[in-house]
Amino acid sequence: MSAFYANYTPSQRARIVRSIQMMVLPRTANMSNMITTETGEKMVYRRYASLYFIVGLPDGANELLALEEIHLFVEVLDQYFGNVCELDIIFNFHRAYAVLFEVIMGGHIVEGSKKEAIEQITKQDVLIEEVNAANSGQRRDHSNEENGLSYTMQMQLGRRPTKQINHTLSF
Amino acid sequence: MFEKSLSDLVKGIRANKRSPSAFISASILECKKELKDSNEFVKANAIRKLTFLRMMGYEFSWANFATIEVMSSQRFGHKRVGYLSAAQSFNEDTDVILLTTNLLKKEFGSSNVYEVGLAINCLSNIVTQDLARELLPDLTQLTQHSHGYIRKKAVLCLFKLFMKYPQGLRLTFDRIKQCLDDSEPAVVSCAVNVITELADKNPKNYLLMAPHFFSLLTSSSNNWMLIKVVKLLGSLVSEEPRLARKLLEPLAAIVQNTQAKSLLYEAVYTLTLALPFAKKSDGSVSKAVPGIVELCADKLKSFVEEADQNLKYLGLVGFVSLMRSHPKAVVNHRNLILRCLCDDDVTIRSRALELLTGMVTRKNLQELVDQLMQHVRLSEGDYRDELIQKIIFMCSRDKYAFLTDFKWYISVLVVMSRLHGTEHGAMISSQIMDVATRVFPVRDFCVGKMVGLLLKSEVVMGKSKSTIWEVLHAAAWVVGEYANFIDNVDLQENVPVSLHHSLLSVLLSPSSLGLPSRTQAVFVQAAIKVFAAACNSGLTKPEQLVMCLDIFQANLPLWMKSKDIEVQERASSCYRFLTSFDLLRPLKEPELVALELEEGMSNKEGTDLEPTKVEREGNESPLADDLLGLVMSTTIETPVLSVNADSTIITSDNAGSGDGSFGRLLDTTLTERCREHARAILAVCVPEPMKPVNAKAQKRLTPPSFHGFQGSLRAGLFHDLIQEDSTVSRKRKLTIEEVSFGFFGARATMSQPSSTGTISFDETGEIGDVSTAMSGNGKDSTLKETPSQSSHLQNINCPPGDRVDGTPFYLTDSGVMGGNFSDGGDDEADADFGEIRLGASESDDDNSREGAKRPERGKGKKKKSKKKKERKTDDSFAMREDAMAIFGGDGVGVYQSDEEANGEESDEQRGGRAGGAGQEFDGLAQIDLTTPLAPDEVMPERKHREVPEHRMESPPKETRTKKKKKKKKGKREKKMKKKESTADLLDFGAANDVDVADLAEKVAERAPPALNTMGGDLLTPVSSNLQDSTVTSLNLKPDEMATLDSLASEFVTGEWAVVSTKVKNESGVANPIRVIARMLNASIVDGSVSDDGSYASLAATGKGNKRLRVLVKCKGKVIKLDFKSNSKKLAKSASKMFKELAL
Repeated sequence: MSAFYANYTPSQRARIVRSIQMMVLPRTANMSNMITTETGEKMVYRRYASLYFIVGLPDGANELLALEEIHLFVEVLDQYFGNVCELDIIFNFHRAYAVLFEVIMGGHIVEGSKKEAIEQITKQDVLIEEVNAANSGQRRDHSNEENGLSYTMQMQLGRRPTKQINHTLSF
Repeated sequence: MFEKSLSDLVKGIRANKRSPSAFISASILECKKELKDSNEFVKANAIRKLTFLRMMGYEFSWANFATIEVMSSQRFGHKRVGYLSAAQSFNEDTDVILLTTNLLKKEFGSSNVYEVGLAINCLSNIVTQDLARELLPDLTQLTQHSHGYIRKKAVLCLFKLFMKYPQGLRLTFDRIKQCLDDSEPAVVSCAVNVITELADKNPKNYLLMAPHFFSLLTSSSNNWMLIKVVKLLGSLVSEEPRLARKLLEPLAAIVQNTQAKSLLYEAVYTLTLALPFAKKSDGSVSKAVPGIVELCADKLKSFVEEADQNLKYLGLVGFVSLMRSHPKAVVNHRNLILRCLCDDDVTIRSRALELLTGMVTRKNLQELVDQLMQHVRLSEGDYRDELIQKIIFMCSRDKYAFLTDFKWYISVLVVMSRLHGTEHGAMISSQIMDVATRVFPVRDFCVGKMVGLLLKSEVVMGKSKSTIWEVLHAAAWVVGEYANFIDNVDLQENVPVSLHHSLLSVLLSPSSLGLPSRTQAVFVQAAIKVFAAACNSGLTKPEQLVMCLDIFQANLPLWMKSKDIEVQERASSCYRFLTSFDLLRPLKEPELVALELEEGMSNKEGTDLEPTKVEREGNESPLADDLLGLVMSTTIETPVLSVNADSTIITSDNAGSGDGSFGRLLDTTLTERCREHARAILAVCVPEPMKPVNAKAQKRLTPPSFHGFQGSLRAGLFHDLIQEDSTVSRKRKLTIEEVSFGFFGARATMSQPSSTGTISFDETGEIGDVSTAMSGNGKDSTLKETPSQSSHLQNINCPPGDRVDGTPFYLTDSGVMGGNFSDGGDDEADADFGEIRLGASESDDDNSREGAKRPERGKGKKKKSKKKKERKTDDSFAMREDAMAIFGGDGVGVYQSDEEANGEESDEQRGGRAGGAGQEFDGLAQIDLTTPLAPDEVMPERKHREVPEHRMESPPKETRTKKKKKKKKGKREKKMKKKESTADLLDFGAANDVDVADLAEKVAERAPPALNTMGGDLLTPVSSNLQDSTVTSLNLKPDEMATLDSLASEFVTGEWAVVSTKVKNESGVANPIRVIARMLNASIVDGSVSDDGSYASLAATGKGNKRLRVLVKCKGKVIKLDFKSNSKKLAKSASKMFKELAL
């Protein structure tokens, strides 16, 4: 999952994502969470269990702030999904995005308070529920069903880290 | 029909882990079908699935239109799916983005705040210049929305709009200012965010607001925002030094009080940025500064000492920044930083290394480097390379400014060269050569080290991936060039015969043939220089000399068969050279023949060409005989030698290089001859002291005419040489000419003409043409030198002491050198180098200065250029303002002619600044908020302004590009532009009734074609235009296009009518898009060609504010046209036209 805040073509995006994976994955826990590439781009990442959250930064941005932003985002996710895990994000990627957009917009933090952000998102969800409820009854409500993870899915947990890339290169 | 849900899709992919592609492509096909479904739910679901698949790296630009359909759905749930998809997949090249304009506009007016929020968010992701221009007014409205939720998003989104549409900034900045006073903290924080980013691009605009931020800084407790405020103030500091002083205290207060590390760091970092500006105008420093520096250093230290790697890293970054203003404060923490070098994390290590590099002083350099060297031994890979690079940089920077002990440096270099697998061979080697040439006192030491390196080269060689051969190259060169120091070298170990002998055996050993050819070539050259030194040295015993010669005799033929042409050439010229002094026996005929055969054509051609060339050259054709006979005659004249040679052959053929006992016994005369010729050999091989030459200095010289190696030889060329020569030595004029020419003639056919001068030039790469030229003279005369002539050699080959005089390149002045040269002591080195450095840097300054002024020599010109510069700065200063006026005054369009004239300079200006900020922000940085809004700068209004608006856009752009390209071309154009601009003014606002079309046509008539296409937006009404274009400009006959299936669908969104048509391009018009564009007289807004066809979007404007947008997609022979217009009639008539065409 990734978001770009500058204009890139699809192939450029793919390349960036690949190179970031190459750089971040081999790093161990006792290394610092900031990377500077040869081209001068800064990368800040944070790992939560098997999830990586990576932010690209322009020169001169505050790395610690980026870490805080990541943390804020994760906290909101956590609160929203209730103990968030990889599968939550895979199956509900659209919601994860909704959360992301609520917290960070165009590479900047929009809402600094968790409570406020959660409130807004749940309100939106209520709207969606209404829409779905209005829909013909036999259609299953996907949004609810996905929250109950099956046993096998739980088993798969932590198999492979999903990369959550939130890219704010060069605003 | 049952379709997969998203979770089905995800499960399916996970179930088919091995080969998901089959499953995915099946799913994609399904999605494609589902998109055609009329049920919105199905559609939205398909889009959601596609968005997921896109995350996995698939690309679905074909789904973009469907995305828009879903976006325009009535249900919020679907909208969200659609907007998410759009935000993820649209980019500037997406064609359908044009269609979103109205959608977004409508959404902004929605009563549901979340819908508005969605739209704003989406806009922030997909914004293009067009969108930005169109939606700016709406978004600005939204910043006054009753919900804070909307306000904050709108404010933030404004920044994205500014990036694409910088002109908007001037128009709406007041709104952003108001947002700073908003009741909602999130909104304020967003506004601060925006201004922070803006200030990063062009701080000057926001200086006036500094007090406001200052109060925010002291009053606010929201850390998110405080960080931004701090950052913002930090970026303002560079524009207003007074602010820096004011800032220090509140920042220090934050540093002391805050708990949040990120804020603490930002404050400290900003402090380090502000400190350089904190000096008062009279140069004094306020009392607080030392305390603050200490505070910063303390905090940074605590960062570095933290266990958290992130803080450690940032602490180091902070130190780097602090070092710029207060290096002393950092130096105190040297040990701490050195400890970081042991860290596990490479990023931290390299950061620490960077710090250390900056901390170097004369006193601590040695200690630091010694410590670094320990790390070098322990480390590996890229990091070690970085270490080595930094060490070399530290030592050599500013012309060795920090280096006091060159001996020590040489040892360091030697140690580094012994490391396996380093990639810095080239760097080390050039350093060694540089030091050896520049610093006289350490030459003998250096030679000693190099001898050691060479003699043990087997140990070093043979490791793959190593660049050590580069170092051997330098070693060989140094040993050869300063071979006279070999006597002083005292190796610990014993050598079998003599040092010279063992050196020669290494240099010429067959195993050295495994080295790269560049190094081989230097080896050969060094060998003969070493030999010359051996002959000259009083310590060499006759037997030793003979044994040295034996090495040549045995090994040189091997080298002469090298596959590398240059090695071959040097070896054989060396061989012939020695032969000509009767020191070596010539190769026996069969050997020679074999050799020549193997060497192929090159050598033979050489001999063939000789006579002809001679004839061409000189009027002395008989010379040729002499030339050819030269080698022969020596053999004949010295029967003793040839006999001797013959006899040795028997032994050496069997026993290889063997013991030259035979020769030794036979020939005491041989050694005598060696001594006799030693001077000559020396003079030839070491013709001039090598000088390090500045690259610029070399360029400054005009290459001497007789150095045209590439060109054919001129007759006069040698004549010149001869003339010069004759002034030096009056003897045997003729032979001089003969012999020197002979040598040159033979070489001329080789890949490169051989002359010792040139060769040494190749080796060092730094030696300028000067020395080559001079040495060329020397060599010419010496090549044929007979013993009797050796006297004049002294003129050419002056004692080294004299050579140095007046050369600014050396690190020692001549006096010091003279003293040290003889005894080699450098006890006073410290003191000496103090002066030395001074001298060196001065001369260097001179050099560079001269280099810079090279184009304008002569005093008058210099003055002129100075004046020019001054004027230029003035101009460009003024220009900047002009440029801003042009830029900011969006649509003002009135140009003063002098502005025009200076236009190019402002362009340069712009270019210069763009370099730093990146093009994207170029425009943004141009905007100047300090000037009041001009009366005609008006917010673009929604209605009744389309035509003028387009035109507002075009004049500045046109003129800009024009300026770049056709600087001098005609006032006519200028006039025309002016006309156009006035037209803009007239049209501006509600003046829709003016016949724009007429005017535009007039303009178009007079404009060059380029202008025409640019102004293509302003066009005649479609209907009349159609006739026009079909008749006159297009040769498009109706039957050129015929449809099989023409399908037109039509529906209306908002007040926009959308009609789509399909036609078939039967006759296969090559570029249908162009044709369509011409038919509509529309400009192509953008377009692209991809594998599955091409598409373009066209824009045309008709009378009475009618606009038409056409999206053309060509796939194979089918052309799909989507017309979108604010007038239903226009859209219909346009589509009808194409339908008719088709029918």
